Amino acid sequence: MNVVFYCYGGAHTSVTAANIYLGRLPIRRRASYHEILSQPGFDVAPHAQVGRLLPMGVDPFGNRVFCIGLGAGRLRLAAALAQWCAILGATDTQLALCNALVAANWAMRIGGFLSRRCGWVLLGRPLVTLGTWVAFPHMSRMVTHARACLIRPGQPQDPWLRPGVDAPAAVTDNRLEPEPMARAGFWGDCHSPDLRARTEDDHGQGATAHHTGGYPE
Amino acid sequence: MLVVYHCSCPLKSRLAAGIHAGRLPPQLPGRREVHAAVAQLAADSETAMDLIRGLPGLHVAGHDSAGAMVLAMGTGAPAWLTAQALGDFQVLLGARWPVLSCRLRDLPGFVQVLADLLAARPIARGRRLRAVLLSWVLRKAWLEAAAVAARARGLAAAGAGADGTPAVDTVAEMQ
Repeated sequence: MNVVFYCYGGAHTSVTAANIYLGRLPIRRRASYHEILSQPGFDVAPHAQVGRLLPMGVDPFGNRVFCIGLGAGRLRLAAALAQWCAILGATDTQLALCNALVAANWAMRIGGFLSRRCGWVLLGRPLVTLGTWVAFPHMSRMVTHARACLIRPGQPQDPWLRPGVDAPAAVTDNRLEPEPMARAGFWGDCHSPDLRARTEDDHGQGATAHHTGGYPE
Repeated sequence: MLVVYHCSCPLKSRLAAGIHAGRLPPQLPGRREVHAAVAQLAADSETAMDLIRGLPGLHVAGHDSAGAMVLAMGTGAPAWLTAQALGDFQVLLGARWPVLSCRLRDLPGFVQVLADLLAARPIARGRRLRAVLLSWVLRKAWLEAAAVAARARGLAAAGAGADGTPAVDTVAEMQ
């Protein structure tokens, strides 16, 4: 299963939701300002990364977790992408799309816009972090619901509910494997020549022939 | 092979896909023929109101002479964003067939606003006004869609995408 959290820019809301989902942020309490600010991938993706899948890690069930920003028309685009994946042969057990922006507030939207779109990081980053702190309980509830929807029948227990694993310090203990996420290029370890060949500034491409070379494990 | 046309405007993407699939003529037709094309696009969709409301999702326009499945995707999102998302999801899931992704140039702002306004009920209520506006939008987009479709047909016939090499930038040629 591939779990994809999507929001507007793929830099704050979906990243925070994915990190809560993966256990890097606490789900039973409100994360601190510093925890939110220091989570991997937060306020990192530039605007050119909108529309790109950002790998966040693997959950205890082996599901791969991704973030993506889909812009203003995210609902219609997500529906179209789901149909596109169905045409490509994906089944319901292979892909789950989760709208993370339902948990966002105006501080996150304005701060994210200032930081990512305008480049005013000094002004935007504290604002979006504060907004994330305010919206954190809502995001935790959303992720809890997403987890409940993704648990498959017959699984013995929910590994997230084990005591002590829902804190950032427990990332290495609960066998999660965070992927390397450098500021320059999330696909640094990608083995697909198709993805590696593409640069961040390829907006000028028109007809592009994509061919699957398999996804890196 | 899959050939997918994507653009911010659902009308334009369906127009290019229809031309590629041979259901619409590549030459810019007269006003009456454009009206007929609007009717045909409406008939291709699930309901006529889907066309007016913005055609959410993916539309299968048919197959071309080489057997490739032709798709249209117009979601209101910028074409470059859609192109990136399509490519990444394709790599993520591992498509069984080669894909030719054809990006159409987004409509000018005021035309896009007009196309979006067509989705509004007060304007969409008048059938004649709606048909006239839709025809005007289609006439603005017809020539570019036909040119991109012709190039994509050539690329598809040549087997582009089978070896993973990027195809030529059709949008840049149009500009």
